[in-house]
This record gives sequence, structure tokens and C-alpha cells, in this order.
Amino acid sequence: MNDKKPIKLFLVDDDAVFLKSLEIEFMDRGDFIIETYATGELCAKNLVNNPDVIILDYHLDGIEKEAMNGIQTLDTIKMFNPLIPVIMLSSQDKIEVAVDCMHHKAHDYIVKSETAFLRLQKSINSIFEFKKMEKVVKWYMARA
Amino acid sequence: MSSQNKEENILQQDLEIRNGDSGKTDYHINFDKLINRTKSNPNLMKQMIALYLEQTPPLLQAMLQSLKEKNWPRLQSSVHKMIPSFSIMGIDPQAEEIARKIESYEKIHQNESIEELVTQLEMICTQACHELEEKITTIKSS
Repeated sequence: MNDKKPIKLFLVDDDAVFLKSLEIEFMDRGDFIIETYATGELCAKNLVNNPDVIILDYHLDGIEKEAMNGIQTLDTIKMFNPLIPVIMLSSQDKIEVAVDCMHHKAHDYIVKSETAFLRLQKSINSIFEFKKMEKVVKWYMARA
Repeated sequence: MSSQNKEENILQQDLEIRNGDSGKTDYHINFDKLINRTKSNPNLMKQMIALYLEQTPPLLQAMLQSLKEKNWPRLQSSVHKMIPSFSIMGIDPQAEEIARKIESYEKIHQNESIEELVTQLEMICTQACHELEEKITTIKSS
């Protein structure tokens, strides 16, 4: 994350404690603009704010059965703009969940654990490294 | 001394007392973790505690109600929602162990009664809420 422009990050989770703890960690880093949403519906409504990355909980409908779930929210984001990278979060370390997320074009799947923040940072770094590489390749291709 | 410094001192003193009090086992919260998470900022600590106290009772209620109604998917969903906050708030790791057992109850833990597991989890969480209420009162009155 060497870009000078701050990264606009959407954090979407109905677990207010986890959401706040992520917000604290990212705010502490200083190079992020954070928007937090407790539901997939709110996230979808605010996509016009053009997030650079979205961190999204898989189980958004755990208690509210009528709520939009993580995968539905992911699909809505990808319909709005397929280029927005979405990192999925879940407290269950299950291969089916990971595969489901990847099928729906998530960038990554991270388990909510003590190391989740470090993994998120790494994953976000990889997004921007990849984008940087893409830019360089495009620059060379334009001159080929 | 600024009020934030005062509050930080109180948090630190409290932590030292707890650390020196290793013989006691009746605490369910390791405040060291929460202080770490909130970067020793009392305002953030208050916010985190308030969020936990707001979020947890309805989840406990949903868990107990689901047990009464034998609504296993809802029971597991409500327990699932509690899990991430245990380590964030520094709650006794036993809570997560019990919650994981309830979450995967059908598969492996049929030798333990689900009622028993739910009761244990409720006790730990209720006690944790009391400790957090005390803590928030201490921070507010400082």
C-alpha cells in the first residue's frame, strides 16, 4: 500500500463488536477512509460512493432471516461494478464456504480469528500489488 | 493530567491489580486484550464495551428461546454470531470452546447435553456482561 491516495474501504458486518474492532485497526493505520455498514442492503445502497475494497461478512442473515446474505450482497456488488475487490469474512473455517465465495468472484476468504486483521492487510496489499502490476503491463503493451 | 491520561492510568492500575491477582479465577474477562485492541484509548474501550453489552443480551435471548423451541438452526446461528467477540473482548476461551461445540453439535458432541452447553455459555456470557458493566462504570466515573 504505497499509493499516497487513501484507500476507501467498506466494512460490512452485522456483528457490531467485530466491525468496530476492524475499524479501530484500520483507522490506526491512517491510510484508509472507512465506511461501516451493518447490512448488505446498506452496503448496496452506498456503492455509489465508489469503494476501493469491500470487506464483507458471509453470514449477514444469521439472525435476520429476511436480510440479504453475504453471497447475495457479493453478487449485487459485482453487478454494480465487477472490478471492486471483495474480501469475504466468516467465523467458520469451512471449505464449502470458501468455494462458494470464490465461485461468486470474491477476491479472498478470511476466517475471523485473532490473525484476521493481519490477513486482511495482506490481502489488501495483494490487491494493490496486482493493480500496480496490471498498470505496468498496460504501459509496456501500449508501447509494444 | 488530562482526563484521557487519568483514564489510561486507571486502566493500567486495574490491569496490574488483575495481573497480580493470579490466584483468583472468578473473572471471565482478560482486560489486557481489550486494552490492547483499543490501543489503551478509554473512549474506544467504552465504545467497544457498550457495543458488546448492546449486542450480546439479544443473542443470549435468541439462544435460550431457540433451545426452548428446539429450533437448532437458529440456536446455532445465534451462537455463531457470538463467537468472534469472545476473543476481541478477552472473554474466557472456554466460552469459544463451548460455542464451537454447540455450533457443531450434531456432528461430534452428542455425548454432552446441548442444554448443559447452552447453560454454561449463558453463565459465562452473563458474568462477562456484569464485569464489563462494572468496567464501563469505572471508566465513566474516572
